[in-house]
Amino acid sequence: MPQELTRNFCIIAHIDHGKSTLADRLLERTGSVSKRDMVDQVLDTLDLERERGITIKLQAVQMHYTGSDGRTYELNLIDTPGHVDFSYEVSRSLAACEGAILVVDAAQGIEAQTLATLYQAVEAGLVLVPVVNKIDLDAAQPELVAQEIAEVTGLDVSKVIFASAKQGVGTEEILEAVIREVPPPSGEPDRPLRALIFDSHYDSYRGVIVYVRVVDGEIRPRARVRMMNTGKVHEVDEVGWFTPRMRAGDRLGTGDVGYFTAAIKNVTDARVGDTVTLYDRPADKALPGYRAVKPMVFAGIFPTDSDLYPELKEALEKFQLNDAALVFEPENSGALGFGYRCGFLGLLHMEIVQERLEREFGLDLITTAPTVQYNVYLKQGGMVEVDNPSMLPEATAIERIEEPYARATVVTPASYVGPMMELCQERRGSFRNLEHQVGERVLLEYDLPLGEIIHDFYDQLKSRSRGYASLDYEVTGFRTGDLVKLDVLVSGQPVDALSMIVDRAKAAAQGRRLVERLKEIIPRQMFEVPLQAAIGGKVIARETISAMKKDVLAKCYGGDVTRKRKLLERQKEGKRRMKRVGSVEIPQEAFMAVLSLR
Amino acid sequence: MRPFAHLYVHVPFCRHKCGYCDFNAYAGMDRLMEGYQEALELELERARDRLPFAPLRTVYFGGGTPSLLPAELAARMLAHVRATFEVELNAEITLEANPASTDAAKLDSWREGGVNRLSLGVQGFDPRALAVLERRSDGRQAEQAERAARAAGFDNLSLDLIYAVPYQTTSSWLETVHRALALEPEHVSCYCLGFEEGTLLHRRRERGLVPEVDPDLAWEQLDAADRVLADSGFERYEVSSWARAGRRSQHNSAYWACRPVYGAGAGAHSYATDGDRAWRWWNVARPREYMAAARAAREEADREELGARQADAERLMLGLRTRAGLEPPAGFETEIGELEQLGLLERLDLRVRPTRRGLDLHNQVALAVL
Repeated sequence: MPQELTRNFCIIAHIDHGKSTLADRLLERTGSVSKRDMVDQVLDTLDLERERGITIKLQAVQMHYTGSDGRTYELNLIDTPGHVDFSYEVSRSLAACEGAILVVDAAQGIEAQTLATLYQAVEAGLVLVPVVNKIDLDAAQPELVAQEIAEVTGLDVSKVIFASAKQGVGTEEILEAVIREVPPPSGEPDRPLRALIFDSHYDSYRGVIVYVRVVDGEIRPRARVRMMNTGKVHEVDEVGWFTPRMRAGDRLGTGDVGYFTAAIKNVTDARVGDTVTLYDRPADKALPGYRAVKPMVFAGIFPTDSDLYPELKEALEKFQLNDAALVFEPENSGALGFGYRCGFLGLLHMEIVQERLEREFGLDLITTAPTVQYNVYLKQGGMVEVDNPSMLPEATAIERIEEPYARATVVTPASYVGPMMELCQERRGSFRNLEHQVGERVLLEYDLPLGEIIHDFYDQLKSRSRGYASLDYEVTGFRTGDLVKLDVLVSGQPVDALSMIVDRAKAAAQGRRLVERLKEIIPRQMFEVPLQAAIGGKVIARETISAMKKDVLAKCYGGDVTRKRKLLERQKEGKRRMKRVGSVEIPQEAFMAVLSLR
Repeated sequence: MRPFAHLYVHVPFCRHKCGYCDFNAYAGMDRLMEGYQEALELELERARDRLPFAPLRTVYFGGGTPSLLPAELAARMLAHVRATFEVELNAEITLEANPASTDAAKLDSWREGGVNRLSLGVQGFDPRALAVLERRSDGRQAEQAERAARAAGFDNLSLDLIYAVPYQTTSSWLETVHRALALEPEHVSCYCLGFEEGTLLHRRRERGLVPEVDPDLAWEQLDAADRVLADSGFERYEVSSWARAGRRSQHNSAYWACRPVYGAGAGAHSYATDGDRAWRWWNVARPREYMAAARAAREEADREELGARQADAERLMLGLRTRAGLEPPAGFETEIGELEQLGLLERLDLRVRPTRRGLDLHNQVALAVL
């Protein structure tokens, strides 16, 4: 296919605004997927994605479309994840495109996340094809939303396409706009190969499948290639496209989007954002924008049954084959035994990993409350990175602690501005900006400690705005905070897995709330269990779980024994899922209690 | 196989299925009574021919409501058991009776048939508690039944009471205990009300129509009853059972000691042992199906063989329901040691037995040894 007939684009949309449905319509209309094979939302392949209606894993699909000009175009749709945890991945897939379809729900308007991605797209020089989707809804206000899009993007309002992906309205117009508006890929076929890796996944037969956009030059099978940032060298086995199934070809030329395999064992060898070049004829400069993935959120993951530690290790290793963003190292907790300290891109990423470990590897896991990484400067000089509250050095040895900050953008209906500002203030946010937007909506900008954002901030944002406000954030750097470690003692024993690092001014109140919550969550035991919260060895709150007094099956005669035994066995099964810390049985939720403290 | 010296006979008929009841009991099937008796006879005769029986030391007619049987049918049932099996001279023969269906004529026929112990399902005296339990009898009927039973010559009466009933206060419950004691029973069972899955009461609680009972309040009522009963000369010899000296239930003690018991009738369970092997089996539960099955000599619904460890664990769990405890089987030293540390068990020579707390928290003991 000549370069001028190629169009590379992605879809930018907020969760639920209909990205996947629109993608389905495009696939259908271009005949890439027959109606019969059409499982709704083809692009979202993981069960979890389909269940939650969110996109986690990137995909790329090649389609062919004959336009009204009579020419047949090659369209490459690159899917982007729709969650703030994956903003780096989003930026890399944007970099692989020349255009973006901007999809906005006709009833909801532009949300914070869309706005953030949109700005990224504009910065990357992408041409936008604006679409107002779901015009069939009763609450739809297509004209108003179109006006909003025009204002935000600076495009003429007449460019906005009205569509209903669900009903197949507007599909044709969108395809026409893509071939008309989105420029063909530039790039030099004769220059040394430069291909951008925008995704990869692990296949147990072929090794890593590397998703690339060829910027200059071409890739063919048997070429020796080098990853310019990691320096790894491999020999290409196969190149091809996703149609959406993988189809091998003889080459990927300039401007093409496709995959190659090269017997790569681990996705960490084909990092998103890296540049592929030829070993023998290398490009002199890598493509810009590469960043080593840095986890932002950390938590301990432990098997409920300590004997399953080797299984957890194996599961994490297998998982990592496919998820370069997951990092982990062994952790030994006094309370929970052997497990792993894991680093994630964000909360959703953490939840996904935990759920998939449990679902796909059949493990019962205890995950401790997530925390961020602190830079702890010591009086004796030097700095240590602390991603586990129980590893925080003694207060007397610490000169100061820095915590990560994020620039948060909240888009909210004007009527919720008050509660949103209040929430940001409560979470130690510093105000930066307030902007009125079309349709009685307001954009707020705050600098917030990341540690505050990962603790229940999103749920609070949703509940205080009745679900209308949306959030996006980007980690910006570190700032010194007045932070202390809050310890929890159960039966007089400190439980390391319950420790947290908190703002000193709020520590006492949080300690009180925490032991209150724990009192509700931890079932009564056969003895009295004192719960204490302490800062630097000083107890600041105390609750007592009184001892269980009576627990009997009233009757147990001949006929009942079998049944009662089964009843008890079920109860015992439940106990097994708890973690015994000292002599106290603590359920999994207790370790997450700190999350819902405020 | 070790011979059976204990026989249980199930009578599944009831006037009304109470909301808390999860027993194999049915209302509105009275017309099956005669056919049911025929089926029982078939089963019992077959059991006698097929399995080893020693002279019976206890027979227990339970339900359901055995007192619902017309006097003649009850007489037939009792006579048939005595004709089929050798019964020890001083055997304990118990029949469960609901005060509402107990009268002089029935009492005479039971007496004549050899019944020497009555278990009266009083359940309570407080009208409100009785209403929650859906018991269609009142305290007066219980008192009348007791008088009639004494008049008929019964000198071994047990009363069943239920505590931890929603809305019931501890003082109302204590009044119930006092009124029960005024009837001078030889034996009292106090059962904590359970919300068993599948019962109407359970569903009502799930729907929020009946409140939960605070477990500490339940304990308070148990504790208060135990004090009053102890002051009146009763010993708590099992989790839910109190008796005057020499008046413990021999039949129930057989269950707790894991002695072989043959259970006849719809849904009845049997337990048999042979060396260190043990089995349980149970009959088809629904009366009509049981009757058809018994005619075809196929009343057994299912059975399980217990592994040696499981049999030992059951023996331990059941033996530890009794204050006397047991000589524990080998292999549970760790569990017993931990429970001892928690103050739930204590050792006495070779025996291990529950403490007062161990009785109150028997589930925790059972969970640890199972």
